[in-house]
Amino acid sequence: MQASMANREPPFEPAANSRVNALPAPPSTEKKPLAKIVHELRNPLSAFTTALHLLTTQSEKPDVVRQLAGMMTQQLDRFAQIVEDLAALSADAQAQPYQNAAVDPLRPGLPAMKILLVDDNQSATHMMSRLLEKLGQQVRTAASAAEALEILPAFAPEFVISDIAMPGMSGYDLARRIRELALPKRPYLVAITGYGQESDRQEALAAGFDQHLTKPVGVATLEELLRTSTCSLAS
Amino acid sequence: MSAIYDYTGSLHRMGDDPGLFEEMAGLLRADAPALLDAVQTAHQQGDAPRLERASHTLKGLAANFGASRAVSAAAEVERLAKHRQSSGLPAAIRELEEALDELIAALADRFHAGIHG
Repeated sequence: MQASMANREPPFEPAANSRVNALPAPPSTEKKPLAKIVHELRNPLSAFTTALHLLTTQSEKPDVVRQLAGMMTQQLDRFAQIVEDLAALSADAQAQPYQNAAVDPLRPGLPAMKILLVDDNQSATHMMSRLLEKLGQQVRTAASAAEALEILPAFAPEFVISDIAMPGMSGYDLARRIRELALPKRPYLVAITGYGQESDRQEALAAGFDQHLTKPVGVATLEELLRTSTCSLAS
Repeated sequence: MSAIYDYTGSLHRMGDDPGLFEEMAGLLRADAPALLDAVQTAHQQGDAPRLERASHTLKGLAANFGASRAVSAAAEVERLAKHRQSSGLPAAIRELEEALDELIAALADRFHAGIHG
């Protein structure tokens, strides 16, 4: 396995027509609405984040580093265009609030809430963050239960969505600890795990989670979670 | 594209966002070698909790793509580690390596071919 992986192409080689490699759009003299600018910011920001992650794991391969540097340079050009768009818009009194920009227009009606994601796996938090942001949610991530407990009081999320199997303090322990905290309002606790047996669900509920979901969780499941649980929070 | 992974289903879970699909494929390709190293090292050292955790993480990564062979292989390593059944581990780990290799190659082929949907 290792040998075959090592002999392959570099780890991230987007196709020529991929969004990562796409050339920046030609400059426009027309002012863009804030919603469009924020939307356009997501792709280069995401590509930049991915490249940073790959740099930390593939830094010993010069060819890969060179490719990633080229990719990041392209994204910087796109950032520059976005900054120009924002500067043009700042004089426009009709700028729309950010909250509207974040919401996927195909999924209206969800209130914007604060959500704390807890998972030691960066890929998992990356995907969940992107999906929740598509649903207009404000997301922070923690790579461990201990980090989540540090973030929790000041961030005051409506939801904590946590993995179970983490090094150190588990998701179960995190749920118990949160239940013990004297918070002005306790967040709704959701376990998202790769353990899908009924006994796993019962264990999560016994530890203090309000709900248990099994990976992989997609955008439709998250939307349903937010809709149904928002009713619980309000009642 | 193939039965190695479920493009339509996984893309739908990712909000029908081909860019996010591509990012997740890149992250899988970046993370899998280190996690497989962790599996091998944990097996050699008899570190069952670490073996269970690494295979569990690989299972989650493969599940993002609906990659049934890789998910099953990772689940089997995780199960053997959890129950401390070392006799079946070498074959199970080989199957996991092959399944992930196959998955990563199939995802790379998609992007090299410029297939986006």
